[in-house]
Amino acid sequence: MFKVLNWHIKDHIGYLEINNPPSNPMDSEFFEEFYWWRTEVVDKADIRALIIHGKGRHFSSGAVLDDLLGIIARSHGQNGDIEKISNFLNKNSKIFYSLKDLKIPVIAAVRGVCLGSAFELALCADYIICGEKAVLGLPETTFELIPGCTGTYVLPNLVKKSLAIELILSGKTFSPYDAKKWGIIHKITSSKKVLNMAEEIAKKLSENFIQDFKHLR
Amino acid sequence: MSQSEIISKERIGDIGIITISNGKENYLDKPDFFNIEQLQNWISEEELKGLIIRGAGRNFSAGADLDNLTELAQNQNVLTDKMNKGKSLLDFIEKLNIPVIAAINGVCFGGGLEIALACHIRIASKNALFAFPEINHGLIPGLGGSYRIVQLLGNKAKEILLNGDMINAERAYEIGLVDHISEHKDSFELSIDKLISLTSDRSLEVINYAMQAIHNATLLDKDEALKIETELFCKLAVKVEWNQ
Repeated sequence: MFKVLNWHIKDHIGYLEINNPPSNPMDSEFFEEFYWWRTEVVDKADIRALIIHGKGRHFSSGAVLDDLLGIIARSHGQNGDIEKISNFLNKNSKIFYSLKDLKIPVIAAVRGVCLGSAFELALCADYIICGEKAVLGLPETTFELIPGCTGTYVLPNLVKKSLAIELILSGKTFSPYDAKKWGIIHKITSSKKVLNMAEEIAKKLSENFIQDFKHLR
Repeated sequence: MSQSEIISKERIGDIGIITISNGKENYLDKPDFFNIEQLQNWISEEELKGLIIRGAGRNFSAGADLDNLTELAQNQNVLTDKMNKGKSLLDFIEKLNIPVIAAINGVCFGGGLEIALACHIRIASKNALFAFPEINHGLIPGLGGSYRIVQLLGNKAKEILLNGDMINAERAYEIGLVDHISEHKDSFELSIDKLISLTSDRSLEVINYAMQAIHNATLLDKDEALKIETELFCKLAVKVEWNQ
């Protein structure tokens, strides 16, 4: 059904795997498939919790910059402005954020790198569990860009504004230990156990998940 | 309205430095201590990438000079006008699209604390002290400080707001009032290092857009904030070179 996503259901838990190893970059195909999965697939699935993870050692290295810049440059060249492409790309932000509209707990199980758009996707989950060697961050400003897929909205609403400013402007990566101290992620375990623990949490949360948790800031 | 004589400004690299200088405790002579237009012009003409607000010498600022305030209060209209201008100034600082750090040594009381709260990041030396002593004089913070501190600290704000007690730098860090404690006895050192590390390799445009998007996160509703985020991203993206 999908190429760069794997979707399967086991014991009423849905598993969405980003499948483009080793670093599982998010190319245009990823965004297309993710859109389709979110709008056509997940709502119809008989699941009580959702786990998002990456295939292999990493969650995802984030958007493929050349892909994205190419699309924007071509549209800009054709239309002379950025309105059309901006409206088109805004769809990606909306679809990421719409994970919060699901009436089930969404868990991001993060091993290895989880950067840029990938970190933005994880931030739209309700619960983030990280392997101890996970590498997190929003490095966009180091490429003369800003986070463009919900990061500048979600992060300042999640942590103190001063911290959001420092993390976004510096673009520095950080460890799951720092992220936990700041209240960005919820649990740390060894990389091997990340998926197992995500399953345990999915089972626990699905029994008494309260919809109001979704938009807690 | 002209700039208060207690304020001086200078630049180090791309960073603007505003220093409050009035005796030992840097009392504020009036609520509207800086002219907004002049501040705006300075920042844009000099293309500043960041701003530090500090006090001269050992203290940040002990806030309003009470005698001065009592004198101003003789004429209700004058006081109201000056307070409103002071409020607008702090609102302006808070919404600046470049990062603003308060470098806090020694006392940071009343109006001084209100200025610090309008800054984006607060860095304190170990000897810093914080208080809203207004309540001891039958007053409340008048420049938006009571609102800002509740936004920042929630229920913990009451510790400072309601009893006028002082808290030290360590406690201020614990409850989240300050973001960093400086090892150096002058918090300015860490403040300038921090601002340089946040801005030196970034274009002014990236800094402005990132700050604008972060401000939007708490000022606008979600759909509008996300829409503008994508627009700003695209505006930057068309300028970045890519491999075809």
